[in-house]
Amino acid sequence: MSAVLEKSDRPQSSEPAPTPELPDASVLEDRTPEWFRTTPTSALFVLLIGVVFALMANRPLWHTDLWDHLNYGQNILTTHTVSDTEPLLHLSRGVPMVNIPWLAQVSMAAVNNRFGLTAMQFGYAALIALSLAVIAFRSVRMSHSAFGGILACAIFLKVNLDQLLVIRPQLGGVLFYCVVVAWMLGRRKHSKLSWIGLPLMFALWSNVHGSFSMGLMLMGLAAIGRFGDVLVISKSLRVALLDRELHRTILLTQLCAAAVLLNPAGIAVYAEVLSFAGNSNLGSMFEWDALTLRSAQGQSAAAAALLAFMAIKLSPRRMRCGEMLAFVLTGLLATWSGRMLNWWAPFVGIIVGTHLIAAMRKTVAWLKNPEPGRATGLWTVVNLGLVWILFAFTSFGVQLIHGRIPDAQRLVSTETPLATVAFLDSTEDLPRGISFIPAEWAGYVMNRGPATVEPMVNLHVHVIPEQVWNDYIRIVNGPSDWEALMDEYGINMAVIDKDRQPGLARRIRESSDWTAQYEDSQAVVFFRDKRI
Amino acid sequence: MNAIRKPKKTVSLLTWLAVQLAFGGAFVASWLLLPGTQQQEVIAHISHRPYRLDVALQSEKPTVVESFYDDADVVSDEELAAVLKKILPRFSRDHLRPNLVEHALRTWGCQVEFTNPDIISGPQMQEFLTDMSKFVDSWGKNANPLMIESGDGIHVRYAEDRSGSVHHDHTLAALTEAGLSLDDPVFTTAREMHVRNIITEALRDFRLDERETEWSAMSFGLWLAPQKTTTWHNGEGRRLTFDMLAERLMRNRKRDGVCLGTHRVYSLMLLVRLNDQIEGQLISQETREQIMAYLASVRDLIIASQRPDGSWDSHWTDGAEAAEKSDPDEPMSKRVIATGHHLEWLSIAPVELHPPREQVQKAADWLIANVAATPQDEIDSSYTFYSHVGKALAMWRHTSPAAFWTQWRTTHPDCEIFDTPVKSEADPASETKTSH
Repeated sequence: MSAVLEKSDRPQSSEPAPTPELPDASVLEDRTPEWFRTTPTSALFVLLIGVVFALMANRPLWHTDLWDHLNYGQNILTTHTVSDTEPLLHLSRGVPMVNIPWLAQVSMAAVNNRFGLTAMQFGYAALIALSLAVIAFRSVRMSHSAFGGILACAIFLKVNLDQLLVIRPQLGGVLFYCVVVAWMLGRRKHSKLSWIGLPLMFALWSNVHGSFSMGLMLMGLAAIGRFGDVLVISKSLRVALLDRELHRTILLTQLCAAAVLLNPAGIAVYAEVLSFAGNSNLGSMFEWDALTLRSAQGQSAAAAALLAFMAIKLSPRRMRCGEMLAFVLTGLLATWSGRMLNWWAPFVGIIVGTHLIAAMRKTVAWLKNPEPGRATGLWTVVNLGLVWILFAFTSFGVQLIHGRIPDAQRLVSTETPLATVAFLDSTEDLPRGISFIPAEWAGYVMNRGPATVEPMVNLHVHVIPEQVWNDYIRIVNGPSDWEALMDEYGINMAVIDKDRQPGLARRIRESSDWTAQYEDSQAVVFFRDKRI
Repeated sequence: MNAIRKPKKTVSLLTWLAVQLAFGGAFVASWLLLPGTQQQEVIAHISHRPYRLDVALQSEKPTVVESFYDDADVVSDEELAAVLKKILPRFSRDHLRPNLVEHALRTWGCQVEFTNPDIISGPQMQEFLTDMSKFVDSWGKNANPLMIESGDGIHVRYAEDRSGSVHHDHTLAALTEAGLSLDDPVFTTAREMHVRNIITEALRDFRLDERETEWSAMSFGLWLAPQKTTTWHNGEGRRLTFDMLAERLMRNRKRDGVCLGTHRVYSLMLLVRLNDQIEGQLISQETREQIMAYLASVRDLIIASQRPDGSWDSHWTDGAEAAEKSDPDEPMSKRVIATGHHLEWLSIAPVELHPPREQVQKAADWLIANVAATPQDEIDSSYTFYSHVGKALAMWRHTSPAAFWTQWRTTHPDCEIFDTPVKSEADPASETKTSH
């Protein structure tokens, strides 16, 4: 950045010089290139989103899905193959597996191998921050108010927080989805960037997460919405059908749908995403349950929905057909399964952020004439400074800058069975064969524990044979026939989560055939006395 | 004068065509690049139908695994004849249980003919199981048929009620061991189908983690080994191999299998024999070694657990501790099950897996004496267990019950005459309750 101070034309004086005046900075000419300049609003968002980012980047890694994905990624790195059958679980051998998020898994494993867990935290936080940035961008553009953007981000975070806590490739999907939402709600849908960027993004998306189907659905809704809008305005079916934007949206959707095929499983990813929700094993996963007002996320969603309806009702803005369709349809999906909140949250955030501001603008003085701050290079410098400061506050930043890596206990959630795995590692004569290990811990045990330990299941429940999963769920609850079920699988070692499986822990303690070998406040490990 | 470019109002036809070509071409190319198994998977997912079976059945008849031995010290002709006479299939035709017929059919085969009309011949037994009009004759019009058409397969009803088979794929195993061919007719209530349709459905609906896999493993081995098919995909698209089947059979406690854990031993031994018949192409060498180690441990257990009278009881898996764990009040049928079944698998096992021959002889002696001492009505009510005794003893003479009996009848024409008439359908409450 460079600036030139204009020459002063003030006359020289013989009197003793008073305290010299500071140069007038307002006369500085900003010579930074246009593309480099940013607005004060951007700095506000960098600060706010950056704080969220820094908090997330220092948050201990959630103990569930992450480890399974790292294990699959490591397997791909080791074998150089994306297996078309389940490659890790002994009881799932031969089960077909369309591993859509293979690229995310490989990336996670490679980053973990190179930088360790702090990089996982960093990547996790970065995906959330980028999603927020996209939502903020679109909301500010639509509402012409930074407050609208902040509101949209806050609602998105609150409604979707439970889903965002789990570290999995879905976070990549959420980011891509937010981009499609932003595209859908924007005015220039068919710029050169859209024609090139969106198909490329979908090609990447189909290798990262199955939610590309939601993206395609949105594009389809954009086309339907456009058709509806033109039909309502023109009242002519012919005009609506011949609308150029409708055609271009259809063509762009087709290109994106074709781009999805660029993945190792090809067209099979479509069959996979279409049949995934019908997998009977998912019925026992609470996160796939219908949304209920008894849950915190159900209450947040209900409050957000009420706010959205109120904002829409009061807003002078016309709601476009596609916007409404997407809002309602994704909302219905979310009521069907709580996990679908991911796809509703961006909409409800942006709709509230936009329409509420529009409604308030009639009465709130400071919202009436929004004047965007001037973009200058200085704000870009401020932004970069903020980014650097926030980066330095992350565990990953500390690791890169100072070479200090936090203790494992600080990097992973307290639910992670660190001590149990340390025990398994230190035990020489571990029972061979299938072991009963809580599905939530299986990934970590496989990743950090002895290679000889073979968990019965992990959290990739859709590739676990139905009988095996049903038996696992039965054992978890400590039924009277728990021992027969353990026998059925030749299980000689059981790792029990004392909080979640107290019934089973009690049953095994009562058995004369099993002995506790290790116990702490979190877990107890039993070995069968007479091994099968 | 500058010409003002009018904004386009429509997308050009060329653009439409180009995108449609790219779109359609991408999908077609992606489909063509997909391996055949994955194409089937996609079709199954989209159509919500089971995965199409990827095995072409070629062997007209299943292979046969014969006994290695002809040892008259284990059982003499007279002793064998006496035992076989007691397990001739003399069943009431009314409410005839498929389980009885299946055991009789696997023991006597589908060709055997008897001179006494009270005794059900092989073709009649086959007809009862494969022609649902005969089945309905026995069970009445309102009964559910045993065989139900299921697309291009036939589902055999099991584990539902007394008119069904008892175990998954037990009917198939019985038809297989009885020597039926692929194209033998099966008359469902809907249409004429064939034995191959039963096998097709069995291969498709088999689940590796179901509780009883003994008969499935045996049947699949006898049909698929001759054509050297070692892997297939079931209806869920899961890739299955005989290595996986073998490992499944060895997975849990030895005592937990059907018939006190003895059927899985037979199935494992059969897989090894089939593997050896096709020069080691059915299972991997590692699996073969695991099976042989498993069978050797069974051998050691039965050496240690044999009772002084020569029988084994339900505690055979406890080895040397069996004596102290044995329940003196245990029903005799359990000892018949354990002893009969052990002698059966030993007849197809190599000597290295045998206990000392004296122990085999003692076991056979106990069975022969037990059969002789047990009243006919008791044997009839426990027919399924005793049928294994007859089959096992015949195999120790390197023959089959049918072949031996047919030969025996030439010199003993009165051997099919009985003092007591055929008993009507047994009271369910009086039947031995041991699972079989």
